[in-house]
Order: sequence, then structure tokens, then C-alpha cells
Amino acid sequence: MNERDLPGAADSSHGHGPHDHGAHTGEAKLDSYQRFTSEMHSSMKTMMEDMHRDPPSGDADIDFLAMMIPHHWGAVEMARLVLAAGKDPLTRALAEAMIADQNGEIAGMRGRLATLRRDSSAAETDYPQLDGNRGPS
Amino acid sequence: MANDWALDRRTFLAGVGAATVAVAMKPSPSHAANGPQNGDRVFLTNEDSNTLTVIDPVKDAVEATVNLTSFDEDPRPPFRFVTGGMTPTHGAMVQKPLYHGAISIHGCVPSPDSTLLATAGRGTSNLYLIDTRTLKVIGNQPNSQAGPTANAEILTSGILVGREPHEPTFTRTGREIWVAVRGENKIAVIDVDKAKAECAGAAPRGSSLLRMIPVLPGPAMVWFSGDGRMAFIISQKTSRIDVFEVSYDAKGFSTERRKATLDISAPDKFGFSPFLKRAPNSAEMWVSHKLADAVSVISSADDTKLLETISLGDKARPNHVEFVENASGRVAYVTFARIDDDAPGGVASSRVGVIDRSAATGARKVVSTFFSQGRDSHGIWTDPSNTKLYVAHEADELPGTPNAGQTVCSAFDVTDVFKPRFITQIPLGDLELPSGKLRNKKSINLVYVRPGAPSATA
Repeated sequence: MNERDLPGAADSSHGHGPHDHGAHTGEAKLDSYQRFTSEMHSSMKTMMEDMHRDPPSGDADIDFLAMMIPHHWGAVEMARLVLAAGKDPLTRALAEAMIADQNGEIAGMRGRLATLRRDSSAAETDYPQLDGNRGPS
Repeated sequence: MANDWALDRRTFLAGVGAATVAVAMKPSPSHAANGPQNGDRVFLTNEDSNTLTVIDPVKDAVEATVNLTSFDEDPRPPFRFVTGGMTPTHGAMVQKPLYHGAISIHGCVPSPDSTLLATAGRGTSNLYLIDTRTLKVIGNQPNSQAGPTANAEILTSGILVGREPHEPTFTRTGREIWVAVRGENKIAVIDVDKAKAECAGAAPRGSSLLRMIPVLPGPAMVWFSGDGRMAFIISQKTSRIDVFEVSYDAKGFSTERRKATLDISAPDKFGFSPFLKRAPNSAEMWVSHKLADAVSVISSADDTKLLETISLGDKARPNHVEFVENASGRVAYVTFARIDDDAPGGVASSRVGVIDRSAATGARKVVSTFFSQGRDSHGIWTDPSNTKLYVAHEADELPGTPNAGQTVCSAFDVTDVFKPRFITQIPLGDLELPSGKLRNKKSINLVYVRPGAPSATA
């Protein structure tokens, strides 16, 4: 979601007189928080729609990746919003780490999803994998 | 069987020093009786939490956790483990500012007399020594900031040995530790006594490193023949095994000469063999081929030939091997990394392969498997009486299971070696730090120690 999508963004330059500084600060806080909650709601709605966008593929690995990518996108979006609206340094640091980690995981999942969509038997024909193996049952 | 071995050991060690001889004269570890005894300990290396779990095998409960992190030496909040109520993930914790503790604790081994444990930090390129009786990390120093919010000790830097040390082992004289430095294609040879001083800062850095032996690419582990005169070095980068002849001076310090390099491309075409161990009282070196799903048996006699390769089944991904022998039979147990879904109750669990060692060489095979009662089984070790067995696991237990979210160790009664009886699953719990709890996570190696008694390296 980019800047022009933010609710109230067009009103962000809306000014108040120099003598109502307290009211300005309070309203700004309220605007910021309202923007945060509105954006959170909007982002989660987008995430849920995207998670269910693709019909079941018949392959659990592909379905998992297809749903987890928007799920991670939702987490990154939530983290971005708290960086814009939150103040607690430790929470903001956590959000920074989530953005870094989950963007990396999104890239990994997109790569694997593309591979599996090209050839769903790739997991069976690749060089033996060290981890993640399961028995025949 | 043990008597032959004991006589050989006495003959060989006659000239190497009284303390070492005293170790060699003790009874063979496989002939002790009566199961676990008070004072015995099971050590597990936890790679993600950088801790050692210590289990009391009499109670089958966690006795202590050895801290190899540097958290909470500094009372200032940003540099503690838990800051403002926030616990870092295991992956992120070692990135906290001023962290100087271990990174990726992996291999470990007891000294021949079982009084010392050596463990390697893959990420920190070092080796730590732990007193198996006191559980003290050798070389830790008093913390001048000790108090209610800070630990009593400052963690030693250990001994820097080179990039990516994987598994250490002691020479059978107990004077040296040979460390497989996987990232440098070398074996670091460490003087044990000097290492203790160096860990404490009482000797110059590097003074305990006797030499670096160039070996094949990607050395994973070294193990010595029963008489200590041959060293076998396996690799995780090439389908070969290096064999060195080793001689010792009057003090028990070694000199090596390359004897042979074995081609094992037939049993291990992938060149990925992470573990080896000598079967007690034998001339057999057992090697796991993790990607080839097999174990091979190599003769540790002069001919050093490949005796046989035993297939473990599709995607078994073998980790470690342990040998158990008692009145019911002689077996080798092999832990599988593969996780299956058909354990009782539909619970996910790895399997342990059972190989009957009494079958003729060349005809040995997996005769059965049993569930390890955990996921991604790795380290495995028996008690000196060969009636009890412990298994370490890398992966946490899944949601909906009794120890969900925990790394677990499993205990088995192996009085009947062909029918291991599950006793209990031991959750490893947490390291209690002043700022909060660090969950013990991702066990790799596991060793059973009876302090003062001969170990598998004796």
C-alpha cells in the first residue's frame, strides 16, 4: 500500500492556527492513531483476500506457500504501520526486525513457489535434501 | 572381548605417564553394571541456545544448564538477554550488542577419564572445556559487576581453533584434543593442560595450539583406533577418509604421518559423512553417510579396508551411531534425521535403526527400527552398563503434544537390545538468567559421562 492510499493523506497539510498548539497536537495524535487503525483494518482485509485468492491446487506445499506469502505480507504491513504510528523503541525495533526477516522469507517462498509450480516433483528430483525429510507414510 | 583390548591398552600406555596408565587400568566401560549411578551425567549440546543441558540419568530429569552465552554479565538493560520484557529469538540473540558468548555449540566429547568435556562452537571458531564434576566452564572469570541483575562469572573465550570446528576428540592418552576444523581443511591439535591455562587468560592466546594438520577438504570428525595409533578423519566435502599413523612420546603427545586416503565414493557418492565412532573392543570404525542414507564399517586394523556398507532406507539421513552390548545381544543404533508421522497416536517422531552386530560381516543389516520419541534424532549414547540409552533431538516438539515447543531428550531401557523400551521424554526447559529464561533449543551431540571412569575415548 503506498502513500496515496493512506486515508486522510490528502488532508495531512490541513493546518491549525498558531495559537491552538495543544489542540493541534491532540488532533494530530488522534489522526495518526485513526490512520493506524484504519490502515491496519484495510491491510488485514487485503491479506485475508489474498490468502484465499487462489483455489486449492491439490498440492499442500503449493497451497501453503501461496497462502503464507500474503500472510507474511500482512505482518510486514503491520510492522510498517507501527513504525509510522508507534513510539516504543523496543516495539519499533521488533517491527524493524520483522520487516527484514519476513521480507527475506517472502522472497524465499516466492522462489520456491515458482519452482514447484513449474515442476511439482522438484522436491523429489533435486539433490538430496539434508533437512525437512519425512517418511513414506 | 574387553580383556584383549585392555591388555593392548596397558601394553601401549605403559610408557606414557602414571595418570594416563591409571585411566587405562580401569575396567572396560562396557563391563560396568547396575545401570546409571549417582553422579553420572548426560550432556547435550544445544546449538541454537548455546547451552549444555545436563541430565541426571538416575532421575531422568534436567539437573542443570551450563551457560555458554555472555548474557547478563552486564546489568545494563540493552545488553541483557531479556530487555524491557522482550525475549529475542534464538537466531537474533547472538546479534545483540556486546555479545561475546558462544555461537552454534555443536560437537562434544568426554576426556578418556570422563573428567572433562570439550565442546566446539561452530560460529565462534572455538573450543570450550567443562569440568564434568563441578559443571564449571574452565577459564571463566569472576564478574566485577555480579549482583542480582548480573551473572557471577564472565564467560571465557575458550580456545580459538579456526573456522567452523565441528567435532573434537581426545587422543587416547588424554593429553591432546584433535578438533576437525571443517572450514579450514585442517585438524587443530590442542594441548589439554595448556588449554586450561589459556582459557583462563593465564597463558598467551594460541599457546595451547600445538599444530594444524592439513587434511582432506571439509573434515568432520576424527576418531582413534583402539590402541590410539591410527586416526581416521572423515569429510563432509569429499568421498574420502584420511588415515594417519600416530605415535606418542613419553608424555603422551602425538606425532602423525599420513598412512592412506581411502576412496569411499561407492558408499558415499555425495561426500557427506559427518560422524564416526569405533565399536568398543573391536577393529571397526562405523561411519554415517548422511545423504547416502547408509553407514559403512571400516577396518581399523592395518589394512584399513571398507568391510561393508549397510543401507538404512529412503531418506533416513543418519546422524550418529552408538553401540550397545549386553546379555541380550550386540547392536549398533543409528539415529535418523528423517521425521515420520506414524508414531503411536499419530505423533511425529524420528526413528532409530537397529543393526545386529553379531551377524557375519558383510551380512549385517537393519533388523528393526524404533521411534526416537522426538523429532530429528541426533546424538545417542548408552550408559556404562549398556542397559540405558539416551537420544537427543534437533527439532522442537509440535503443538498438541505433551512437551509442545520444547526440545526433548528421550530415555530408553535397552536391557533387551532388540526391544528398546521407551521410559520418558525429558523436556530440556530453560537456562535461568537474571533477566529471564533462555529456552534450551536444538540439541546436536549427546554424551553419557561417569566422571572419573573410562569413556569411549579411553
